[in-house]
Amino acid sequence: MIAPGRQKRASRRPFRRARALPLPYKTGKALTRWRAVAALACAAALLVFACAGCADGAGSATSSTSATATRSFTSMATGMTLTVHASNQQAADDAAEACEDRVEQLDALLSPTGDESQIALLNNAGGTVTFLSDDLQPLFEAACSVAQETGGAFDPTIYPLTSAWGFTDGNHRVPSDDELAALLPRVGFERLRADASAGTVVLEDNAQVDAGGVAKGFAADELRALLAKRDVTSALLDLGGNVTALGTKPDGSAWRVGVADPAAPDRLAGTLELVDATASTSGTYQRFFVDGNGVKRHHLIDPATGYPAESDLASVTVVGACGARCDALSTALFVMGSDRALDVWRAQAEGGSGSFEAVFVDEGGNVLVTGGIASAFSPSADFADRVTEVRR
Amino acid sequence: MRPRAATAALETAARRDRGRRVEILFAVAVAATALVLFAVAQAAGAAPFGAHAVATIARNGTVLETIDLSAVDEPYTLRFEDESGANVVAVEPGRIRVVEADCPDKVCVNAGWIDAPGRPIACVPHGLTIVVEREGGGADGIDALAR
Repeated sequence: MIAPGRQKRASRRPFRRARALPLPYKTGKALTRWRAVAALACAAALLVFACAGCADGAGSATSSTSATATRSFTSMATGMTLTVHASNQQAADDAAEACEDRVEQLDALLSPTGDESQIALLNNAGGTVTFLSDDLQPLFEAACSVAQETGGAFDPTIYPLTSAWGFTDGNHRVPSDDELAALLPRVGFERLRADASAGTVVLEDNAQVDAGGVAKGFAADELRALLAKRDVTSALLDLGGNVTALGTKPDGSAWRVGVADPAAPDRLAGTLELVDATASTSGTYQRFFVDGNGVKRHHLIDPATGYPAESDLASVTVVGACGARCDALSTALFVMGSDRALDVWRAQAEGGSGSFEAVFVDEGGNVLVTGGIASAFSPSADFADRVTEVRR
Repeated sequence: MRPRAATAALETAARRDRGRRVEILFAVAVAATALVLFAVAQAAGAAPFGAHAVATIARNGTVLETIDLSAVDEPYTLRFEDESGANVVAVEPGRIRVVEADCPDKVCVNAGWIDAPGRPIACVPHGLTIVVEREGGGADGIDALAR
């Protein structure tokens, strides 16, 4: 499509100019010769480009990202798709398979039930000291750190509440006010005492842990580490809508990650360009049920009230380096609402180890984008005039 | 200026003009050839623009079916069933969806049509997944959807 247009321009221009130029002959001839030389030079340059293009396509077996493995499966009660680029097909396939195996392991370790579940082991320990697999320590660290930072808006000990609402097993129901009031004293992250050096966790006051709010983000961190060990530098991990970009695409461009429009989740509010970052979204549209009175009950329970959070937000997408942290933060910021969420964002120095960025879509369909990621966010047409950049 | 000298000058000018045109034509021909070669090489090396789409249907990570959606002429349906349950998948030129399922949540059916990467379909209760890979990406150009 491009070539004919360029040819046309190329063939018209020299003639027109040659006729129009009222120059003395010698100069004119010198000019056309110069033009011919220039054209030849351009042609040579284009041929070199073209050949470089050929070499890129044909000889890509030698580049570090010539093979692609795409793997799709269900785990952690959601659909997951991994795209892994590697130097050869075997390496890409093996890496993707290793990722799937690791996710399956983590699913078994982190699900609320099951023989292998470390969470079940902990929740049924009756307040005694429980030794957990070492590799789960970063999950507890991230969870407790975000809980502290957000005043408990994200709380890893929310299990009694999510369970009462049926979000842990899909048997949705509306608990009574009394039931929730009785459960609230068991919820509170200060009841979870993790000792990283000893590898132990203790739950006090009949507290119980729900790893659901950090599991996918934590899995992304584990897969990043696994892929780095295999020298994979380009991959995209879609863990049930928790999206982690490893490096860039093989052509060097950023990964393009859509942010769903919470009012119509199959459409986009905009697109984020990501390199080496995770985007975690929490929204009311993700998991909900409609109760007997026709009231929509979503899964983002406010640990302070026991009820689905009443937020001015419809969705929060948190972007940062640590997947577990992004995952937990997206839940917390949703529960907190936009004003308090922005306070949490401002509390982190830009570029600091705990810094993150966010895209908020409020109930009215307006978008707030934090300064650090504003240039990486392109709103879709419907949202073009509804985006506000928030400065620190 | 004498008429004779003027005529001679014009004839010389015409000859020179022809020569110049040949030079220009040659230059243009070379440039055009280079452009065509360049375009052909680019087209051969790069992906065809959004043309080729392949759907992969898998259960628990094991591929059940690979469908070249660009080669589909007539719509048809496929049934995938095991002890966990059944899903009916509709295939049309360039796109695919789950039209029927006996899973409790129907998330797979509600996902609707997909025709590009970024929006895989998953039926969690049945472990069934459908992804579409399209050379050059889809209309919105996304690689994945944060949702």
